Amino acid sequence: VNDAHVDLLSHDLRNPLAMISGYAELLLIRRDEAVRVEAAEAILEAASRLSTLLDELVAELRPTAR
Amino acid sequence: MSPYQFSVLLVDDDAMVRSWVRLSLEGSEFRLAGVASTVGEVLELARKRAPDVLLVDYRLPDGMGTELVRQLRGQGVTAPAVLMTANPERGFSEAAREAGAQGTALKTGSIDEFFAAMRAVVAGEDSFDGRHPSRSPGRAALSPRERDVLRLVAAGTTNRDIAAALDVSGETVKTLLNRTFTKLGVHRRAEAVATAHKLGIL
Repeated sequence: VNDAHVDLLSHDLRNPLAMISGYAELLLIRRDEAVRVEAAEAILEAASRLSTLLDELVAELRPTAR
Repeated sequence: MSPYQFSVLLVDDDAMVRSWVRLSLEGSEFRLAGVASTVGEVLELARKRAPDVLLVDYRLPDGMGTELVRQLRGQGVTAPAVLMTANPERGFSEAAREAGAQGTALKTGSIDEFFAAMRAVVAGEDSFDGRHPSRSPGRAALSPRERDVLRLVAAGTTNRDIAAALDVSGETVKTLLNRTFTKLGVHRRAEAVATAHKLGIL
């Protein structure tokens, strides 16, 4: 694992995280139902992406996987 | 509802980010004039739509946002540009400024921060996010000639062919390469190319 890998990993993890916080902020400030539903769906999708990435990362880092 | 005043051209390959920006802009003085997900799509769209501001992701599927802004400036597109990334990246704001952008933003920041950056650049001010650590000391910007050499190195061109392509001597190529290596803090061609990609120079 070198610097470039760490940067890419950090970027891949932060992207869905940014979307979770961005859409959550929209949930707080918007009252229209359609926007709130879209935001909630996006949060669920971003959380799912993040979970998949973390599963892959943990599998890769586990000593038994090497 | 604020009356629309400024058109935005958004460049991001992630549909979720595009929707978030679209929803965030609703009711503000900004409206989406166009959306693109690759460098290739933007070059034509920017000319056609003549946006007031460009909102550009740093990592695109077919290139870096910094290089896209540089290309747009070369084509005469003068709309202020804000480059965005999810990561606080060392030297990002400097690389963005050198490419011709007026601002940087963190996707992990708040909607208000996004608006602050866009409002600043349409008002003619710079807005570089301070959370991107500054470039390491001694890492000066590459000159246009050094960037030309680096681009040819990245394409696998030999020193002799670089000299012919740029109409300079082999010694000049070596000097330009050495200067480039020093500025990037590397020792080999492959390292230089990898670092340049990482910094958004290529």
